[in-house]
Amino acid sequence: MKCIITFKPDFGEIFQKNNQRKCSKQKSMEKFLFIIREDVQQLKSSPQLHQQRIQEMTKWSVDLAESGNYIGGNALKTNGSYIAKDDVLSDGPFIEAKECISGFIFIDADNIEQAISIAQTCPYVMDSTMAIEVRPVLLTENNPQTHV
Amino acid sequence: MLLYCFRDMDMANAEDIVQDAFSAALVSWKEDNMPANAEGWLFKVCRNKAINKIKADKKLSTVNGAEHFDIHETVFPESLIEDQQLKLLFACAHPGLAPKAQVVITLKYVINLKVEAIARILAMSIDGIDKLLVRSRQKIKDEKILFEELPAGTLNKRIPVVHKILYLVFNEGYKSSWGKQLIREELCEEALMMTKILLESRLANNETCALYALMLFNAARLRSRFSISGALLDLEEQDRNVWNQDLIILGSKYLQQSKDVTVSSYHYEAAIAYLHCIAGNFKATRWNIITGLYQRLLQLHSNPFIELNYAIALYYSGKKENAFSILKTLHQHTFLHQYYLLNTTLGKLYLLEKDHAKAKNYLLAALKQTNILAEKDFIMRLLEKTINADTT
Repeated sequence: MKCIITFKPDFGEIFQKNNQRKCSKQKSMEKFLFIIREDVQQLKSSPQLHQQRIQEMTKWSVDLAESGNYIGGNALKTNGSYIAKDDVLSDGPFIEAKECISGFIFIDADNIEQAISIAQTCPYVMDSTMAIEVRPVLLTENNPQTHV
Repeated sequence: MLLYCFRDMDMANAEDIVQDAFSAALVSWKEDNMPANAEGWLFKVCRNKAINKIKADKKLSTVNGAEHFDIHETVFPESLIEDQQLKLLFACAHPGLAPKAQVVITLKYVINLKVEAIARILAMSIDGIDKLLVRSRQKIKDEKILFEELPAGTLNKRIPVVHKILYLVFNEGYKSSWGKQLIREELCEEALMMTKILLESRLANNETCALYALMLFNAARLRSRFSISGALLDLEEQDRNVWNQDLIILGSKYLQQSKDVTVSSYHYEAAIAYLHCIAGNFKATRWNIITGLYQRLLQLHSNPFIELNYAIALYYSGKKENAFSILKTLHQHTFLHQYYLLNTTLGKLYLLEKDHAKAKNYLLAALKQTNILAEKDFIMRLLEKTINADTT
């Protein structure tokens, strides 16, 4: 095939200044942690259901990545220990099993309103089988990055 | 449109009135000829109906409260339709709404799609879309989002969000087809058209240019992504002669124009798309430059899904070990582990490496992770290759 392109953008020239100047949009973004809570007892009793829900959350993460909001996240295993002073409870202290932490996601958002609004688009929040706690990440000047 | 003129009206009422007006149009246009300015005619009818409706409502309330009333109407010339669309788009770009919600209300109120169509396009349930709309409608109502006249400063601040919406709308149209393919191509066209309108307005900046270029490059390849029989083709299999050269040239022109001191993710993505478009064949693709561009993109905004693409580019540029090590790290990630494209990628690359057993495992995993028929077929074809290779 012939190459009939007449305009040849010069990438060196276009992009060389990037390092000197940070994208202003990135700067105004804030980081948020989504603490995902759901009925972990139920997930425990059905690994298949657990798998299926993780898959659905994956689809949602792809959406968030496409819109440039997703940073990272993971699902958690259903076991764990709870440590408080004088106390180590293993296999979960899960007092309120319906609202147990089952995973976390880090996102970028313009502001907390948008972060909340994003959490509301989660398919399981919509069918009310999941709750998401939205917390802004506190960043210090020396440590402007979260490590996920 | 109506919502703009009458601040006192809510969306449900406005939708009813517009429907009324259209049925009135059907009746009266049958008898007479079409009016010269059909849009203006419709608007006038809507306006009159709206005034009547508001008057009726107010009368009801005055009976009780006996309060004084007047109707706020912003007057504007009838031919501003295009600008109105843009205005609505900026209204949808409210920073308090999730990008997904912004896309949904844009599809509903700017592009005028039905809820069922939106649900189909976004692979969401109608119920889900309704919930999103109800939530955003509440917000729109509470904060009068669609009614505010935005000052220039706010408009400028919203440009990145508007870009994002247009990008996402285009993306939705571009994704592999399932359900009705036609609607999806229309979405790409709508996104292109609105970006063009934005470009022609005073609000556009160099990012708009880069975004437009990116869309043009992808639009140029749109038709080649499926074979005549409807099978999904990857970049390597696509017939490059089908690529629309006019769109590519136009895209290059805009990419050239978009040069500026600030470089956005659209610039990088457009540049990557450009390099793919100008490569005479798959092997001639300049993978080295592309990996460099992905690196920059990751610096600007890092997420595992961009890393996946970066790894693919690394593989083809010859840095196979780096590529596999990135992919393996990604694979340990719970959400990515469930992502069919990661498993498909690993499957395909192991196939190229002639490690058929591994390829097969990944492809089988991927097969379970997508419900889209064309994608399943695509994975099946790769799987067949691993099986054929085993038997020979």
